[in-house]
Amino acid sequence: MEGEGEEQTSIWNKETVPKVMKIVSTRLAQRDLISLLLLSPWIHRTLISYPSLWLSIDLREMNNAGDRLIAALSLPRYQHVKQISLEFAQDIDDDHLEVIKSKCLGSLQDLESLNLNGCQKISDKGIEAITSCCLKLKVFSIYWNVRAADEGVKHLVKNCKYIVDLNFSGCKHLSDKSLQLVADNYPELESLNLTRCVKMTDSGLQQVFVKCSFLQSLNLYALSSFTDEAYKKISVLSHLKFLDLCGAQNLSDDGLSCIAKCKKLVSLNLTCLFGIVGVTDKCLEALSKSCANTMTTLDVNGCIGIKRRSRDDLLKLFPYLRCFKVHS
Amino acid sequence: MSEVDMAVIKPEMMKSYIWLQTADGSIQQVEQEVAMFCPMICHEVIQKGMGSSKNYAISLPQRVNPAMLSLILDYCRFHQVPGRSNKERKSFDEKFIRMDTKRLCELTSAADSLQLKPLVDLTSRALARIIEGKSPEEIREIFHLPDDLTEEEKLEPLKNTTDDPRIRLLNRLYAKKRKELKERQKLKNIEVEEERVDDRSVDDLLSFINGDNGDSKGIKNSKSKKKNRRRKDQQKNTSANEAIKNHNKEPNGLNQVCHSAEVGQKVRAGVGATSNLHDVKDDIFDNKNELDDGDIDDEIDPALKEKIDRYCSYELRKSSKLTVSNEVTMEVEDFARRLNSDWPERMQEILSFGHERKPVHFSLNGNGSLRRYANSEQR
Repeated sequence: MEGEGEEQTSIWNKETVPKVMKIVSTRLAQRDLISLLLLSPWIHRTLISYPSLWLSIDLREMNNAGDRLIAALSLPRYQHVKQISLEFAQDIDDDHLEVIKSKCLGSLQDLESLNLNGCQKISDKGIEAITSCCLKLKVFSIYWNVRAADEGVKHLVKNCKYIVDLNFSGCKHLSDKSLQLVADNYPELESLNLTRCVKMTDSGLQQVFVKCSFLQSLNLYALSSFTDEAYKKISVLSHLKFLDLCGAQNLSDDGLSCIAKCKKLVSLNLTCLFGIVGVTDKCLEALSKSCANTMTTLDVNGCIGIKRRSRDDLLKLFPYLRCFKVHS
Repeated sequence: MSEVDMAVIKPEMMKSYIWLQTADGSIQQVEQEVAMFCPMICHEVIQKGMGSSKNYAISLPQRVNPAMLSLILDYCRFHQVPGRSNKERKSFDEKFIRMDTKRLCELTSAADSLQLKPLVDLTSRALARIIEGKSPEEIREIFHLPDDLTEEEKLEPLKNTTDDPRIRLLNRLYAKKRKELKERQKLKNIEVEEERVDDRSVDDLLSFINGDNGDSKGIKNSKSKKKNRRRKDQQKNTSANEAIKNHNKEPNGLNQVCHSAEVGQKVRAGVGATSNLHDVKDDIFDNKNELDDGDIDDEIDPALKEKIDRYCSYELRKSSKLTVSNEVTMEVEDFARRLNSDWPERMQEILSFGHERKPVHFSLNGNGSLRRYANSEQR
């Protein structure tokens, strides 16, 4: 009887649980998957043999992220990793990225998404190193990095030709030069976040509008120096769905009525700390004419020129509105 | 199969039964519409004409024992009725999966073998919810998995016919581990005791590496902290291994490194302990200078010993917020390649990706934590 009990246990450990863990694994986040790896050698072997489970490296908010990333990229199971997130990770700097470039080149060939948000020690040098490894990159995010400059963007566009989603939010040293590089190299760009890139001006922005005609999402939050000169050109972005103009204090009816030509707008944010005074009810009507069927988010808190701005007023113009306040 | 057998699927035969046999040999008959809800059974009936009589009972996969079959058939019996509303089905499902985790596991496995996808989805979703956010130890407990170290047959000493010092070392580690596990069993709740065990082990290990085997020269060499950063081309993995060493070869070198990392962790923006981290980074590149290509495979090289050192030291830590984890990950992998064993591969997983959000017991060395790091827990 004991032998049978042992055999039962053995089947449980070596067959049943590993199989079940494999079934459950597709529903689990990376970190939970790694917990599973640590449970038993059989579970480990089972899970390792499914490469589709190991396409993401999640080091968000971890310390020693640089070393951990290097370690991860040296493991066979991450050879085809598609997504790496180092958002707010600590202890990662240019040196780590240089090491990765020289030693872990092969592992990044399939990388499509790289999140370096908050990795403030990384500079243009690191950007050069890492982008030279992941030529297939599509999504690049480097939020709140004050060391990144136009030089870094130069390396990015040189190495990564397939970018469709760029987040430069908070990279306050990027100038029109970067916008020019983006415009010249990413005609298929779909999403662009330039929050707080205060050095940028109308002319740089216009370049992007003219050449990146497939933009669907544009974030110009907290950029108060743009004027209608640029805003009017938004009208050419016929695929635009999400537009954040919070802080666009120079925006007027003229500009907004041009924006209204973007028929697919789903979300529009017009809040402003000091009020976007130039926008009135007139342009809301213009907006309603073209976007009434698509608009689901509209934030006009701060457009003191808009008098009819109660929930009901807005619903009359945009019957599908669900969200009235974007930044809480 | 014969016409008689195929008759079982003619619609005019109202109360038809399908015969099923479970691995224990018992045979039962089940209403046709219920059984056919399982794709595997359906396939057997239609493609192979099985199940029409006791003699041609469909042999169910081994994972489907009578208890599981009963549950599965309950599920099928309910869901195969076409008229039910979504709400009814959802309500049934919610009640249905209320069972202990072990059964849920068996049920998932059984349903999977019968290809009953809706039930597999239901149970695996429930299991995923159970697993989410838990530590390996917690998960092991829930699923009745043995502490893998006790079960790990590789704790058995390896044969060491050539008196390879690496194997000698590994065997010593295993012996130590076995001893520690025994001790842990005895002293499970006495934290103070375990802490003392930790300290003793640290001393043992460090003395072993630093002096006993007579090959301590390597360690001393790699203590130096050169500032130049020459990189040698070595085997890919080894190089990567070297690249990420946090070096500090004094006995409390490890402590310093850990401490610095802990301090670094405290300061969100990574400003803290910059000096330590700077030194450490130099060492990352330094160590590659230490090794000649010739050393790697022939002798027990300092890098290897270093690895083992950290491997052991790691085990003594309770918290998973580590400095050493990742290096040891790499080193253990390399170590494994040389010894051609995959036990260290397992260890490396333990050492990578520590869970930041919760203190994790990796069941490696009891519950005691080195008190001096007790305050480093945060988040």
